[in-house]
Amino acid sequence: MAVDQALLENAARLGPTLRLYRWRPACLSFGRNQQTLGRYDPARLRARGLDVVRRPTGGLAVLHDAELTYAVAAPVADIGRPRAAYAAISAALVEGLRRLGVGARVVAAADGRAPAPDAAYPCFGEAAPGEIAAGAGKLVGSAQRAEHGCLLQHGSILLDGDQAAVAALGTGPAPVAGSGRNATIAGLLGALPPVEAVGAAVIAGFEARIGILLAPRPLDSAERERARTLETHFASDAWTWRR
Amino acid sequence: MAETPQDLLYTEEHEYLKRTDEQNVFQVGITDYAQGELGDIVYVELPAVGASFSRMDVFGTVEAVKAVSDLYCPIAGEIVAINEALADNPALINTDPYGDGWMVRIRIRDESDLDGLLGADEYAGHTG
Repeated sequence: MAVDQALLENAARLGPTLRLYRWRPACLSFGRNQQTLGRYDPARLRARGLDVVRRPTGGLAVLHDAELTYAVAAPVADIGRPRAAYAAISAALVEGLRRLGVGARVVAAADGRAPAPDAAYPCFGEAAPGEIAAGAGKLVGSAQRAEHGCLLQHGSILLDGDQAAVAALGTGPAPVAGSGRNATIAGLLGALPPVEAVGAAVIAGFEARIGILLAPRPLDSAERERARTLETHFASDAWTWRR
Repeated sequence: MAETPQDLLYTEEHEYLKRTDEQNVFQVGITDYAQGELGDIVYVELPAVGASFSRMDVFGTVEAVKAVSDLYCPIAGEIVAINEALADNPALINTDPYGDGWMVRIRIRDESDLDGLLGADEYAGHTG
């Protein structure tokens, strides 16, 4: 989270960046404004061997385990205003998944409002308009943050597993609303391709649809420095359990 | 076409200030253009009454379609009221941004700070 936020804060200077990463150990991430107090128990999550973090972006809980996380940080001038950027990134992800042999689609806007952060169900319990589904379930869950003319959008591309496990990590009864199942790349293809192949397909999708040529680069010194500072913030209970 | 009332002041970050009956107290919210760009607003976080901010300090956040945006204080001052109705009904920001969807009332410190804000036509030029 610290690196994603550091990319956002340096995007005006460095231009668009796409980052792909995975989590070790597995981690439960909460949305910036998600209600977690009374809904999740830190001791119970620790006992399951899970890290916990609160994202700077919106949305609901995601279990980062058998998945690939993407993050895009870019000036609005390059990637468009929030909703246009959301649509462009969804198109890039669908294109990348198509190259992998996965027939994914963008969920239509006719389904009404996005879930409020007080909703008790997890991110993958319901596909919001503009998100990506395949087969009968949601395949990619994404969230955004806008700050000083730049955007961060990151999201989880599910490789395998069942996000219904997120509901079971909560302390309350399983929610009735938002109990939809997720799709996974392994389920759709019948076998899990190497994660490097998924990453390469995502990069190709971004290059084809957004027209940004991406070259691998390490964080520069300002980004590294800022990420180190932000680590303390994102690791603090005061932030993770803020509401 | 987004509504941009002539009698308000604006910032490039899409907040507006509206004069109230109380001297030096202004109502602050986000513009019709901003709410349209954000889409359905599902959550808003506002500061406590009594909090003080400098110009461009972050005074709150809004969340729409899982997109979080900071709210920037358009002018230095002290929060004297917040719109409690938004906690239960943040969609008021979408339906009536200049009326029932107001966010905070702020007592400004220095009247001359108003000179740094945009008029309606100038703001409309930023959103065209």
